[in-house]
Amino acid sequence: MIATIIAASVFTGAALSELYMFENTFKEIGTKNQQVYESSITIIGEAQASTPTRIVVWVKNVGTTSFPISGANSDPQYWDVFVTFPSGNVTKFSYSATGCGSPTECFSVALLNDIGSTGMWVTGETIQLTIYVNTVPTGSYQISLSLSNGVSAEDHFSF
Amino acid sequence: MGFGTIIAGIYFVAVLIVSGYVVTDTVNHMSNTAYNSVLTASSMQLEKVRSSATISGIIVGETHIVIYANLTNNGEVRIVSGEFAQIDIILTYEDSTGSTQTHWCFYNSSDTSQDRWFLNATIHPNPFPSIVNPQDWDPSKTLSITIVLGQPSQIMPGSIGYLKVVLPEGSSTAQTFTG
Repeated sequence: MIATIIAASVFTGAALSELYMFENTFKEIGTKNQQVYESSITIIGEAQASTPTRIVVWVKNVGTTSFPISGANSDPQYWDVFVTFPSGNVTKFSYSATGCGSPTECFSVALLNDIGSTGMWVTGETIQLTIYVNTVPTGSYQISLSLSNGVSAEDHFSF
Repeated sequence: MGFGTIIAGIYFVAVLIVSGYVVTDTVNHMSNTAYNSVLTASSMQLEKVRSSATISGIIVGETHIVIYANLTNNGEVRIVSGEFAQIDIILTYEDSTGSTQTHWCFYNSSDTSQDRWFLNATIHPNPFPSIVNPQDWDPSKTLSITIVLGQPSQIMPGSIGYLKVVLPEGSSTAQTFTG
């Protein structure tokens, strides 16, 4: 009898443990999906600048998810920035918080209208994405920005 | 049937009940998050679709570093004064050396640095009219704005410029002007 009770207890404990793990996993998936659904960004403008040569892109947060722009847990370090140049070449740029050293191609991020100086990119606020490049040839470009949660924005422009 | 079997049966039923609760709670949680997500995403899109503005009366000041423009809210969304800082003004023009300049301008009436915009203080009331919500930019009201560029970035007289305005919800409008 004791053996049966012990066996039943072990089974119950294991089953409940797995069940709660299942519950937490699905709740986490639900929460992450919610964050993705409620995230939205849009590229609102581009410009070129010289000394150093760079492409400047303005991106607006039109979702309800906030992203930390500064600090150790800053989000931009996980972002993917791809630029398709007029030649058809596609370049992926790496994030640098302080600007480019070597190699000379990278991107940095600045929060332009940080209401309340929170360091968070919240709804309605705009960031400036500065992409340091070697040259900005004349022609058509495409830019793609993907955030850490997979939400992305694309735009076509020309210089 | 021994006592042990009864205990095991009770445990089994308990597991079944708890399992049922956990599965129901999980499904309920996922349904709620999915519902809320779709609701929020739809609401955001709806706000964007319902918000709209037009630009008119762009005038470049004599110093060629100040631009005046009227923005009319012809959407269905009120933009309260606290949201003015979320309006993006992007100005593209040819400077006095012939180079194309594109500047993002921030909302600030007190800062005297370059590339900023604010409500034109000489227009009363602003937004116009002020019959309701005098501080806010309601549908059909007009906002008279002043954009100030940096001194080295004068607009070349006679050149063509491009003014783009992006509302807090993400909808945008644009208008060309002559410097």
